[in-house]
Amino acid sequence: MKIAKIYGYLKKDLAMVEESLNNVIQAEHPVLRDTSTHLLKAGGKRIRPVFVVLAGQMGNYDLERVRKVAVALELIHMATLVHDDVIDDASLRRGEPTIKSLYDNRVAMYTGDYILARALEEITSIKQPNVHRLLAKTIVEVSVGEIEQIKDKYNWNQNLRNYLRRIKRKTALLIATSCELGGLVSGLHEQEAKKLYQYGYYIGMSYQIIDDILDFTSTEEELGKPVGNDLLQGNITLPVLFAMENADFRQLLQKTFHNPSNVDKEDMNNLIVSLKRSDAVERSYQLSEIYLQKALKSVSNLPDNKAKRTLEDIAKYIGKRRS
Amino acid sequence: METSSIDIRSYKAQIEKKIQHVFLDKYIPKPVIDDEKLTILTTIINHSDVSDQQKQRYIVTAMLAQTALDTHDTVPAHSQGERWSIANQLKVLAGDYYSGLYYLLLSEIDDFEFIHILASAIKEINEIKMKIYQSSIGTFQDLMDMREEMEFLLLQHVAQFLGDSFPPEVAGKWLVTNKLIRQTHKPESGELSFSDVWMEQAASVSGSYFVSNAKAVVRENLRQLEILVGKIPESHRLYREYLHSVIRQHNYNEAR
Repeated sequence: MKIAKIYGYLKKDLAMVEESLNNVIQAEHPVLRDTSTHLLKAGGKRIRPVFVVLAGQMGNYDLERVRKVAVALELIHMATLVHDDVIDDASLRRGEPTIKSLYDNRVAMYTGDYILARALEEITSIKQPNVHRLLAKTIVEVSVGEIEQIKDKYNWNQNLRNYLRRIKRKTALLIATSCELGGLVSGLHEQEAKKLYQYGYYIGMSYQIIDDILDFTSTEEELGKPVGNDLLQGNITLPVLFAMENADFRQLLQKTFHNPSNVDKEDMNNLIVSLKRSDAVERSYQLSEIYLQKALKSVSNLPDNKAKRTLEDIAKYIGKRRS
Repeated sequence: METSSIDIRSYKAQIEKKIQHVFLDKYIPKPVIDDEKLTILTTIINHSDVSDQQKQRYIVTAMLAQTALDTHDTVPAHSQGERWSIANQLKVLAGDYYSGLYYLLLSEIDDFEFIHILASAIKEINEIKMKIYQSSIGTFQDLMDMREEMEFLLLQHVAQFLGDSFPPEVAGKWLVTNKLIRQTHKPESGELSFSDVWMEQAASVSGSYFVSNAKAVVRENLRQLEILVGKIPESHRLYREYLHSVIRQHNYNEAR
């Protein structure tokens, strides 16, 4: 089953979000318009808008307000992706050429800045202080997280805490913020909105851990990038951290990456085989499951309704994700 | 209230403090904060009747937004394979970080309107940047005209928001002329060089051709500015006098 089936009944509202997304990024300059809509056309799960809408339905649902927040969050995410491709010198995203590869880095920089500006223009029509304080804090934290990620590259001495903090900033914060903002703009009490934030945070952590597992256990076709690509880029994820507890693996890893630019496909294959032979994947799934249980617990005391049940179903779906 | 050089130094110090980051500072050059832009911005904002806290936040956040844009201009157009360095990656992130900071500082004082003003200016600036970067610019003067528009956009948005009458054309012309004067002598890091942009657009253009064109444009712009300065309203008298004296000094230097 596809995740979209779980929230199929939101189709109409999500279509309106999609329409707004498309309208908001219609730049005057043809190249800017083309690059801004490029990512949108490539699709994506729109998981942040889904969380905003569902969280909104936990309160006094006002589609217009919820839509503005959903659009802003997806645009912020998109702006980050465009700039991330410059950072990673990536030529493909979701199987499509990146903006930086279609044009160049500078065009990608202008596009990302334009999209972020449009996101802020949109969200400022919501005159609610707690909305902006949370979102602004999240944007800064996400940037700091990305800087930390570069700092931690090829650092074999980092620990679980480093990793968890990094994925919190990389993924969990924006999902948590999506959930809380959806609740806040729908008039939920701050305490209830905080529970949604917790839900989003735990879901985000679990989701990213599974993503990091799949980087080793999926195929190149499923991933749309080489298997083990995160490690190849120097990002030490949870399966690697667990596998490194084995001295032989650690030694092989350090030897392989003695000169990162010389690592070839065969080297990576050897590492992946060795990692899969260990209990690293299993233990990573266990930690992901702990976060999922916490996510479910976070919303357990909220009033029972369709939106809450959908949030629970999404959590369960994410836990079963294997590709 | 008029602006003093002490104000400018103090604001500059505040901005520099805000963008301080141990890891970024280790790998990327300190961003260039445009003194002339900061001076005009401070002149406009100091003259408004918003609270002192707002004045301070407006100046710092507008300059943070500008610094974010300028920092992204220093990201090389092409990654050049393995030579794509950690410094270039961090320039991308530094700009994003500064953008986040301006939003954060304004959200702390619940100033949604000013967030909107800055975001709108940034949107329009990126439209112009794309225009400059993607179209084939005819003459050097065409490039200068677009740069003038780009340079004063942020100030213009702020001035309009505060109901200030500072003439945007003076701001744009002076900011571009001042940069041009500096760049004909020595391009500074943290700036998108006029010569680079022009030479990217026109393959046959050489460095010396750029300098001679630039000098001609500087002369003409200074001549026009001597007239335009008169448009600066009486309320900004001190700035008008400052600009008069700077222009006179440049003309004197050129004549020697």
